[in-house]
This record gives sequence, C-alpha cells and structure tokens, in this order.
Amino acid sequence: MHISEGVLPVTTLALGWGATACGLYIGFRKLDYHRMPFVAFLSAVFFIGSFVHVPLGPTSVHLVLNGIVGMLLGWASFPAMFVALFIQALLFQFGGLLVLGVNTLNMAAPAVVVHYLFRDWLRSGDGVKFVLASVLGASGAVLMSAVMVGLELMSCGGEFRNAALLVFAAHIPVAVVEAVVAFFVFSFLRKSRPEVLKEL
Amino acid sequence: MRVLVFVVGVLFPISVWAHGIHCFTGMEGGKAFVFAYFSNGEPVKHADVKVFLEDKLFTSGKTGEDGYFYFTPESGSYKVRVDAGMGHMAECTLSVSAENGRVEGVKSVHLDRRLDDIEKRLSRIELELKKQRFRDIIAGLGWIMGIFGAVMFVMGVKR
Repeated sequence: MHISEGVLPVTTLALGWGATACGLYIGFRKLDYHRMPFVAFLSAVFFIGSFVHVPLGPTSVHLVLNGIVGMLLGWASFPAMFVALFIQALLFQFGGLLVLGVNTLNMAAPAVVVHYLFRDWLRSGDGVKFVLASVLGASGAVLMSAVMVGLELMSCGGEFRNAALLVFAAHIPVAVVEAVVAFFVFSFLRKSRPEVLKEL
Repeated sequence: MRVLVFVVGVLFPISVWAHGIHCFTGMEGGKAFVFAYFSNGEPVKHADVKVFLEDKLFTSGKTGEDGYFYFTPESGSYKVRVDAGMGHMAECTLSVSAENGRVEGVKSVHLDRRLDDIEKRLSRIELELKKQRFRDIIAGLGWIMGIFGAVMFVMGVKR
C-alpha cells in the first residue's frame, strides 16, 4: 500500500508531510520512556509485515498490520510507523522520501482512530466486545488506509479512478487475514500479558 | 520475547519476498522492448505501459504474461512509464538513433551473443540479490531498534 515516488501531485505530498509532522509531534509528546522498547518492538513488527506478500493480479498486496500495531500504540503509531516506513524507503525503495509524509499518514491516521474507537472494548472483560474490537479494529484500519490511498490516487486524475477501486478491493482479503491475526495476537496478550492491554 | 517468537513464527513461513517495481528497455531486432519486474525478479503481468516521445504520448498498452511490452520506435528519446496499479509505478528511458538505415537502440541487447553466459550470470546475481534482501531486512530491524534506542537515550539524558 506504499504509494510510489512521482505519482502524487505536489499539493498532496505537502499536505501529507504537514499532517504527518503534526502526528509525529503529538506522538513524541505522548511517548512514555518506559513504553519505548514496546514501541520499538511494534515498529519492527510493522516493518516486517510489509514483506509478507499475497500475489494478486498484476500487483501484489502485503500485510499492513496498522490496526494491530495502532490499537496497541495510539498516537505513538506515528513515530513507530514513520521510522519503519523511512527505513523501508531507504533500504528497499518502497515508497520514497517525498511521499513518506503521505504514506505515514495513510498508515498511522487509521491506527489512531481504531485505537480510540476500540480500546475500551479491548480491555473490557466482556468476551464478545473483545472479539469484536480485535476483528473490527484490525480490518477497519486496513480498509480505512485503503480508502485514503484510493482517494489520494483519485486526486491526481480520472485515470486513477480504477486504481483507487482496485486498491480497496485488493485489501479486503488482507483485512480478513489481519482480523484473524489480530484475534490471536490479542488473545495471546490477554492471557499472558494482560497488563499490556490494561495500559492502553 | 515470547510475543516476538510468536509473531515471527506466525509471519515467516508464508512470506513471499516481492515488492516495488522496476523496468528496463532495450532493442531487439528493430523493435523496442520494455521489461517490467518486481524486486524479486518476477515479471509484472498485465501492467499498463505508456511510452512518451519528447513528452508526447507515443503508444500505450499492457505487458504480457512474461512482463514484456514491445513497440516499433522511430528515432528519438523515449520515456516509458509502467503502472501496475495501486500506486506501483516505474519509469525508464530509451534513446533510439537511426543508423545505416536501420533503427538501432543505443542500449541494444545483442541477444544472439553469449546468451547462455549472460543467463548464468543473471541467475547468480538474482541469488545474490535475494540474499542481500534478507540481510537488508535484518539490517532494517537493527536500524529501528537503534533509532528508538537513541531516542530513549536522549529522553533519559533530559530526565
């Protein structure tokens, strides 16, 4: 779901960098010293997720994991995902430095949204709410990111309209896979490290 | 640590390494070709290709099953844009000059010469690239830990 360099117009790139800068500022302000290793760990998980690929038509989609990482990190998603995307842009030319702002925003903004929508359900004792939060949070963030990428691609002209629809359609299977992964990850955390979910 | 083992255990077995698209151009028997491929060397199938001659659209089409797109060029410098959808795009160039009454690419690939040798070298390079890629991923993880470690250090100094 990384947008390549040279696809988007300058205004979109600038807006993306502006929004990401705000997100990074809030994220760093909210970073707690003792949670830093946890943020670094989830940044690494997010980084690795992009290498797990599902081939699909002329292109391929990879795991996004922004819902799972985002629900655990909240605003800290911005620094965590920014660092991971920065390294991916440098080492692998996924995206690029000019579109890094837009790409970070696409991943981290939905992450923050699902964090605040579902954190109460996630830490509640209610089993049904817990399952719903894992499934809806993980898949919701992926689909929100897909919609954002789609809208940005549409902003640069009519010929990208199909691309935008394709992005959304292609990420439905990813959303399903991530909902399942999220359920297992959160169940695991709930059993063995319940304090992680309580601190959200 | 247990979480790390768990997550890595879940993710790694199903991974296929591919991402980012690239293209290169060349001449083959008077025809120009564009080859589009993913970072892991897999061809990009059915991707939209647009060929621009001096910034004007010259021709367009789609790559085949093998990732190749062919067109008959006139002399001039071309810009080729390959779009695999979802924001995956690559650009490459081709200069064609007319010499001896025959269109010849500047970067022409002489397929009739030492093809076997080249193929062997290519597969060796591909293997090297795959190893390199794995090393880069591990390096990336190290960078992430290092960057957050540095931030933690700075925060610790301020406290």
